Amino acid sequence: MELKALFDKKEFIIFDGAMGTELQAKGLKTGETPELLNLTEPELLKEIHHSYIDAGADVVSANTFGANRYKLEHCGHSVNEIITAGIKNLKDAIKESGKAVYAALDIGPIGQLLEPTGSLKFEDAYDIFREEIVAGVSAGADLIIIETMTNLYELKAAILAAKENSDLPVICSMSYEENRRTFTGCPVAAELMLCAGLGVDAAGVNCSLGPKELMPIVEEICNISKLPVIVMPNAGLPDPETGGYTITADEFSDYIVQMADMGVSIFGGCCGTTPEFIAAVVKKLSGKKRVQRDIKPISAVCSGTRVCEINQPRIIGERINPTGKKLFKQALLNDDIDYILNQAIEQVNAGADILDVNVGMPGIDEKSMMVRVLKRIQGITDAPLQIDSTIPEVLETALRVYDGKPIVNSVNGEEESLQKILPLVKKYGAAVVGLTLDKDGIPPKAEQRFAIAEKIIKRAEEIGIPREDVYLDCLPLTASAEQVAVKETLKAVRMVKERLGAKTVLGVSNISFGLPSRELLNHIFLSMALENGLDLPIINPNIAAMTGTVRAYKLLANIDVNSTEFIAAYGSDNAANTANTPKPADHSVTLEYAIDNGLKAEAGKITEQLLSEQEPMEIINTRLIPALDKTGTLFEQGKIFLPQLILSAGVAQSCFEVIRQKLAKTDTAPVSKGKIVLATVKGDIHDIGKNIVKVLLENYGYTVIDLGKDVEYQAVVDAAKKHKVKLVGLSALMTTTLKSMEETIKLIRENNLDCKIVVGGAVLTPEYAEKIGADFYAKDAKETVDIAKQVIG
Amino acid sequence: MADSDIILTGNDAAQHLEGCGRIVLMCATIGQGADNLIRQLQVSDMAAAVITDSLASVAVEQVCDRAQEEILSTLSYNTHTWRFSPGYGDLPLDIQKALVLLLDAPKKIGLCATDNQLLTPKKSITAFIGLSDGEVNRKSRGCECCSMKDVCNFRKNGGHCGT
Repeated sequence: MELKALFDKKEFIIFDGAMGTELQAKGLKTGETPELLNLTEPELLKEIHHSYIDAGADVVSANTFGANRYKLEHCGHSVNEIITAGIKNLKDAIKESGKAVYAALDIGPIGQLLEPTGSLKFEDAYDIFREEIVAGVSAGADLIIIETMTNLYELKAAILAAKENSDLPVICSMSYEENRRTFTGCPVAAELMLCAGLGVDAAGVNCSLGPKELMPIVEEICNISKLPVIVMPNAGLPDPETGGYTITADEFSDYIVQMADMGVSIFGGCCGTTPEFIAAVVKKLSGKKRVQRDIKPISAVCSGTRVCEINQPRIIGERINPTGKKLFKQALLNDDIDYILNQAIEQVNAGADILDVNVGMPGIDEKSMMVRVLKRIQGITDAPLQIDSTIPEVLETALRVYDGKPIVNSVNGEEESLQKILPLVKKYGAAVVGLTLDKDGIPPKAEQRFAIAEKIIKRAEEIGIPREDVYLDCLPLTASAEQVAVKETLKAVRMVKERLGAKTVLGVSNISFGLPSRELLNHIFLSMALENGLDLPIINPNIAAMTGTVRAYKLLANIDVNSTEFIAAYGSDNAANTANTPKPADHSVTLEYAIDNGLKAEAGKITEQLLSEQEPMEIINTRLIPALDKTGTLFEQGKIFLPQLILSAGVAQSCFEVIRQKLAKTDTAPVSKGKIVLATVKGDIHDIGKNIVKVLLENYGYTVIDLGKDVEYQAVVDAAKKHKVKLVGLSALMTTTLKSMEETIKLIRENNLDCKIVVGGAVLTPEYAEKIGADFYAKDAKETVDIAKQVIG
Repeated sequence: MADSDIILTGNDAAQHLEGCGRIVLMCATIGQGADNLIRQLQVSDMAAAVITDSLASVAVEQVCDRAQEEILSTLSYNTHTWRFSPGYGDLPLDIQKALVLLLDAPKKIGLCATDNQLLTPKKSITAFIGLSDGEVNRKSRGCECCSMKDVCNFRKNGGHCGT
């Protein structure tokens, strides 16, 4: 069945109304699993299906909304059994009716939150949905409806599972609150963008609100959706006293008619609606024509919670890239993802709209590193990401696990690149950077680069990637070698913009390679490029002149209307400057004083001064560590509290940062007293305690291999082996996860690793620690440091 | 809860609900935004993360206070108990998933439980309040009725856990 075929016959497609509230009306108790009735009460289910078929529904959903592995865990029947029975009941009812009605496999949310807030991995969510879809397809469903979703990431897992395991039409719908976002903060535009990109047949909204309250959301959807729009409202808002719903079938269907006039073409009912509602909708829509909507294409990308429209210059931050950066490379080798996360936060705070992510370097598994880094970055920032790799497999893996619509960096005019990269971009609904080079390299003339741009667009459009999703890079060459080519690049940008109507992107800082005063050249070139039509400058946003150029350009080009953004960024300029201006070094401030009092900037400066007189290790051993010991003792004595201890630790960390940078410059091996593996055990997601321990250990000069939270037993063993550590620290906060701690310890022992194990966490006791085979119990972060000293020195 | 197969095991919940004919079962969350913020702060400013984490814990308790007040004002009863949650005393955490599903919390407020019975978003609570037409068990709300009282780190340091 194709949705298009149905639309050829009908002006509107009408789904059925509520199942859950109907079952409750027929005696289902709260706490019972409604899907179990597929097996125990088939006649009841068929009766409900019949009532909707009689009401005139074109598509009826099977009773499979919650038929997933997680929700059915203890019900005694498999997902396959329950879905097969659910579809069979529906198809039997349809057959008995003799009407041309289609059977939909209904897929609801799993009922568990995905990473990073929850512990359900994207890959496992995909698997849970796949199981449902495979069962539904083999039971003979005609289409798939994925509904009541609130998390874009979960929706993506479900859509991929549907597209990769069936040829059926897929309709998607999310549930919004009155602020036009879902519980998890997903905006309407992100859903529509994801659905359009992944090849969904129709998208829209259901549940949570009545038709009246949904009106503004429906209006927004109708204004921007490229896909047919589906709306399935509740029967008004639930009455908190009775649990009943508030509007009549007549009122409901009046709103539906209004929505049809706005351009919605698929309707149904959610909680509280009955066959009476559907019959009223069918009746009032009969004879009406579907409204054709005229949607202007827009260029945009999104994360799970933020949409970035490329309707004005947007900054792509270039810093997450190991090329030429020693500290970054060290971080990758040590699995120090926090280092990268800091780069992400810094750039976003400086003004980046989108972040480029590149983790390619020799000696690491780029694919697994890319997945880890992407998942962590999307957990701490809502800026959309640009996935940057030369390896198609890395791109594909990253495209799968990305929460939203990313940019792929990049494709170029070479045949091999076009053939390998464009299908990935199409399949995952991404945008792509198109480099105007081919097998002969970067052509010198603007016309030649334009020709390649044209070719890339043509090839993209041929496989269904819309032009608005291709961002063309006309490749600036360094002015030191190719001075005449600078103008050619600018000319090419203008040609692409004006003649192809495509968005443009440039890696700006290439222009000054090999020249002095690069910042000066870079920002002047940037302003020239912006004036020639550059949309997406790839820059270091931490350099004030670069970000400032973009902001100033937006003001002067009348894009930043009323100078709002500019004033927000620089309005308190004077005040900010005074605060940031380094005070003349106050000689009364010592390193110890700075650490005691949380003076980060001062401590950094003092460390720099000290480095000119003393060896790094000497500073660490004679100054930093004694100062930390002192705050540690005060903490133990209850004279200072955790936030103060951590504040001091943060200051010490900034001192270490200064030392590390100095060592990296002089190519000296990094200072480390030894490596320690830390992990919050499998199943546990409370990791703030572990992270506090990490900060403190790092302060004492240990290198921490942080495996994060919810860590598999084997991953701890593997890391301990790989890094040959002498100490492993395990944390668990809840009673339910202490078992995992015991299992992890068991596995470490079975592998005969030459390492000690320290455990900690709110519910642990020294006795329990001993019982599960740990070597040490640490009651807090300070004690962990003492244990590390004892074990490693 | 009578329709579900949830059993409040242990002694403490039973003692807590002595004399009660009904309970109010409730849950609350301050949402994923708090988790996101705390996660971000743990990277950029650990001290701020620790403080924010504590504030978020207080905030969700305050949400419960408000909800409790609102709910109780609509009901008629003689006395009520204080809020009791899984994890208090000897009442295990392993009913969290069943409780959130019973309350339809994933759909209604986006509150879920993991396979290991941890609530997500993190700053969330499930709780029940006993209602009695006579007198509830007036045992004082404090450490004395807590089964963790002998091993509690908070108590060893002279404090309490804040519940």
